[in-house]
Amino acid sequence: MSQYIHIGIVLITVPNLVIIGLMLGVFALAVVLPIPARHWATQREGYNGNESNELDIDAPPATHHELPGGPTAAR
Amino acid sequence: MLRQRLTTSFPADQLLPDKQPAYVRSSVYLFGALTIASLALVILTGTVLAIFGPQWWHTNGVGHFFNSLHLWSVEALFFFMVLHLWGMFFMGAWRDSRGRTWVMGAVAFAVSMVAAFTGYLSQSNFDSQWIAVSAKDMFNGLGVAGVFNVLNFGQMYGFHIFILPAALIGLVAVHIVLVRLRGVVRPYPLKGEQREPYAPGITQERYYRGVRMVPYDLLREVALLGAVALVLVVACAAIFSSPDAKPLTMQSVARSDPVGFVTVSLSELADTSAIAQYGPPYNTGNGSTQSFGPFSPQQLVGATLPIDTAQAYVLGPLDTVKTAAVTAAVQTFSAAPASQQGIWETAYATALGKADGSLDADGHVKVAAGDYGPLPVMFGAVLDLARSGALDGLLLTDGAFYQTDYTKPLLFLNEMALPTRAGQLNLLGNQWGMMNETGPYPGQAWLWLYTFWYQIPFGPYNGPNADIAVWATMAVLTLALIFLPYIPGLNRLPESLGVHRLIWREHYREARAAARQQPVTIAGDDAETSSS
Repeated sequence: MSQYIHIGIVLITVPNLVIIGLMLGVFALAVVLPIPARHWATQREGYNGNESNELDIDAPPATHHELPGGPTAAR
Repeated sequence: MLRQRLTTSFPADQLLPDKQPAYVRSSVYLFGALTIASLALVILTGTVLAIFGPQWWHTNGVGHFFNSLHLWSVEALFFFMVLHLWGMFFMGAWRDSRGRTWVMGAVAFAVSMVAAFTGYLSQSNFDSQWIAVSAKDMFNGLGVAGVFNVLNFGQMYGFHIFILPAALIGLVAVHIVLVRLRGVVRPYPLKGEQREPYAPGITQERYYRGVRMVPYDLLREVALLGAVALVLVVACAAIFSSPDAKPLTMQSVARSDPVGFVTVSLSELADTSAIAQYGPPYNTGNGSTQSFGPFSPQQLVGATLPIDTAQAYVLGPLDTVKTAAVTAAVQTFSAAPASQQGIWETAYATALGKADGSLDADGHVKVAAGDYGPLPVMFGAVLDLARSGALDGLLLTDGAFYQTDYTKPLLFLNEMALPTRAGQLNLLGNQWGMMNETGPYPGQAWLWLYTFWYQIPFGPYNGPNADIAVWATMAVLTLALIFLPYIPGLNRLPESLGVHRLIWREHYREARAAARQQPVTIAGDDAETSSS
């Protein structure tokens, strides 16, 4: 038999509440945890997608920055 | 020509990339692939269930296990799909001309909810009966019961195993292709960051210019995550199984509660039952009609599923009983004036209300002596028909061989038996929601917001038009979700919420470090993303 949590206008069965709670928990974990394999891959500085997987010393920096108040990128 | 066009429009290095931006390293990015993997499991297990037929899993242990796999695949699908949606929302994934990608994903989410709903209606057990009778009022209120009748198992099954999956697969396919062709949206820029302005139609290569790329194997990742989803689903199915409360039938109710059965049958004959008074789509009454102000789609569409309760539940079935006593009783009743019929019906209803449940020598309900006309003979025969199981078949029969429309028996059972059983299972009244299942099982948790409105004790959500008021509210919210990329203000919300700073924090850390090594830098270590 289903058991309910009833707080004000919130009424939900315990199993459904557990599912929603798990979703929130897993999402919070995912936000703070990197994907291990990709995290390691990105530690290889300089890789810029070359087929040879060699250091690309001519590649532009990941981002370009200006002084505060500089132009904001259009999106 | 066609090959060249396909090659140009769908380049292989974009559909199956071997590298991707370094900023795609948060676990949040995994939920999309997990959703696809879960959808594959849903389709696979659903196909097995469809091959063996809708009754297989009720009578076979292997079938029940496959049903459990199907149920938990669906739970996994929505679990990961909602997380994917949250992730894409917080990243503002519709930026840089990716609005259509978001729209396709959001529509797929909505379609999958309807697909799951029709699946819950197709369980052919008590859960599906109770969900169906509880959901019917909303669809009736919208005037769509003629084309989407939740009490018609065959129709819901068709929607569930063909129409909606086909639509869902198509939408997901387009969504994935759009994701691959356009690439993964870049992080929100840091405050003061200068980036080449996005221009609609630019190539993926140009979009990623200046972005550090890392090796990537899409197929390997999908295979790995598929294995994760499979293990998760098999484990849940093996440990938790799936609910399968027996459905109620006219036979089971007539046997377990003959007084209640005859009482409801009498109300059908007397046109005093809830269904007899209901209104469209069953008749022209107005007992359960709903409207948006002066506009009632239910009334406008009319009786698309006409049911004459006296004929359907009593007089029609009695036509099949070829005994002299029953034939004479029906003739006596039919020949009597309406006023006399009413007197008999009222007297018999009063007597049934005082009945102690005992039966006479013929197995019919015993009531106090009185003038009930031919009614005791008629309802004795109806009770016999029901207890034999014949009435279940008669209520499905409409002249065709294959019968899958359970509208008539479910409407009858909803007069008393289904609510009584639902009460015993703690599913009644304001404790009920379409998201619930019997027993300790999660149901359609993704419908939480839908059922939430019913709990608001005032306004349109707690009156005679509650069903269509809730539907209208959810329709507006669903449209807002689908077209979020195009709603000014709302489409900038994720940037204000700031969750993206956590998701892309390594990218921002690297960007800040790189900025320190540049001749000019952004202000401080705590540089924030642009709020423009």
